[in-house]
Amino acid sequence: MPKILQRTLLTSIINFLIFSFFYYITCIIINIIAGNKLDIQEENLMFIAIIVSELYDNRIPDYIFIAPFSRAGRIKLQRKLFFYNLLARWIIISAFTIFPKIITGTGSDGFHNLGLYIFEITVIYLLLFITGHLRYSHLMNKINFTLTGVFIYIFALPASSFIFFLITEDIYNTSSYTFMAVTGILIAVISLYYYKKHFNNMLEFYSDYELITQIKM
Amino acid sequence: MLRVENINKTLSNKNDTFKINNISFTLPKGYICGLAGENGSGKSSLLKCLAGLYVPDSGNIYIDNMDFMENEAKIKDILGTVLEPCCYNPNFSLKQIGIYYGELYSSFDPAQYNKYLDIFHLDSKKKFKHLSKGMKTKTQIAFALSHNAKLFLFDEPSAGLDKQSRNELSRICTELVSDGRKSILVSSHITEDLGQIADYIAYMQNGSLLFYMPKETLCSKFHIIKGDNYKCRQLPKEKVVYMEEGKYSTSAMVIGGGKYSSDKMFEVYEPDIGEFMYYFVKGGRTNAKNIAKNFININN
Repeated sequence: MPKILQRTLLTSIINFLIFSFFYYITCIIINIIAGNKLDIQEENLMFIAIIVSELYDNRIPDYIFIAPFSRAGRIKLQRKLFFYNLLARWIIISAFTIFPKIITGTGSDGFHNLGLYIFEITVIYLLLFITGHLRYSHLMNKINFTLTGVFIYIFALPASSFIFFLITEDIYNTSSYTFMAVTGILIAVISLYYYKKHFNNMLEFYSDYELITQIKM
Repeated sequence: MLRVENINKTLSNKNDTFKINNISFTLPKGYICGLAGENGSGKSSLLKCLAGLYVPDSGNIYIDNMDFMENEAKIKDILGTVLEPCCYNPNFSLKQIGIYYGELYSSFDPAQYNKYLDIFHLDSKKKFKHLSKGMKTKTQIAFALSHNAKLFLFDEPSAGLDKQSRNELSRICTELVSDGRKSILVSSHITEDLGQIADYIAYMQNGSLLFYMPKETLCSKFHIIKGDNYKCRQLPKEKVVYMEEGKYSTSAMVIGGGKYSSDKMFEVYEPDIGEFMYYFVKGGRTNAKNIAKNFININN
């Protein structure tokens, strides 16, 4: 991977890390000020962190379009950048949510928590990939990119996720492991499907300098 | 070195559509081509097509006998570009630009890059975003000259440069092609600069290439005639590209016009490229296409 791309990746990860950290600390402070009356769930906080971080630029630097790379080469770099970014975010999110639960949880309680958090994060990504797919599809069809983004990220996604979290909690409290596992796998499969669609859309968009420069993000 | 065959490209955004129409020309090795035309004529868009930023809807581009679409990476390795807007990370220092972007080229020479930074009096520790427009252009030129490029695409490189730097750039351009292995395609609205360095002139209007020919041949097809107002008014209107009347005397650029040199009432001479452009643009806004079609290309 060229140095310029390593730097881009590193900057993106650091941005995400800093944002997540400050967001987390802010929420804790707010909770303390409110006298610990707010029931702020880590995963809910991280969910918002992921959404906001999605708005950060996640594409190859402009100079790659001038530098000696073919279209296939640019797509390969973009794919790497996107994949490593995603991986890093998963790890960071897990560090805030899943890992502490595993460490502090005991016996079946820890197992429960682990299952629930994996489930919830899968749901978060499912929603993100659907959103990404819709957003880039709209972009390809020259539908207003900014408005679509604002609508999806500010209204549709948080609303749907809120409902989903309520259901998830309900499922967790009332359902069997088998039901949860089947639902989880189903959601993971749908996530992968949308991940692929979102990914292809994004690669197509980011490898086209003309589209990037002509459409205001 | 560069062969462009029937390039077409439609660029559209929310408000309007712009087309580059059927452009073809060939630039041999060791020559400089000046790309002229008014603002919005399509010079930058054409250069972006040649630099691979825009993909043409149809047509072919060959650089160093290689098809652009099939050998994009190889071709970009031998392309030196100065484009607007610049694609460098604005937060990079000039030193970092050399380190991070130089690595992408097979024959980038850091010593050569530093040498050109010195020539242009650029501080390598300064961040790119803190440079003036002229200094940003100089940085791009320094970088383009440092990776052993064979074809240089310069989009308005002299914009924002002072007279001394423009002269320096002209000298560097002439030196670059002197080995007969490199070529330069340079767009500029400063016709004085083009006249100084260009061997070929390409003139664009509304996305079309009106003419492309050697500078000397182009200028020899026209004459500037200066004389008394009443005398100049008698010149055949169909031959006059543009006439500028003063209080006592008039000057006009006419097609052909060599026969008037024997008339002692006129001062007759061949225009240089700057004068040609001035009269051509002024007079040709409405009928430039016609003039180019009937009196430049056909008579070539």
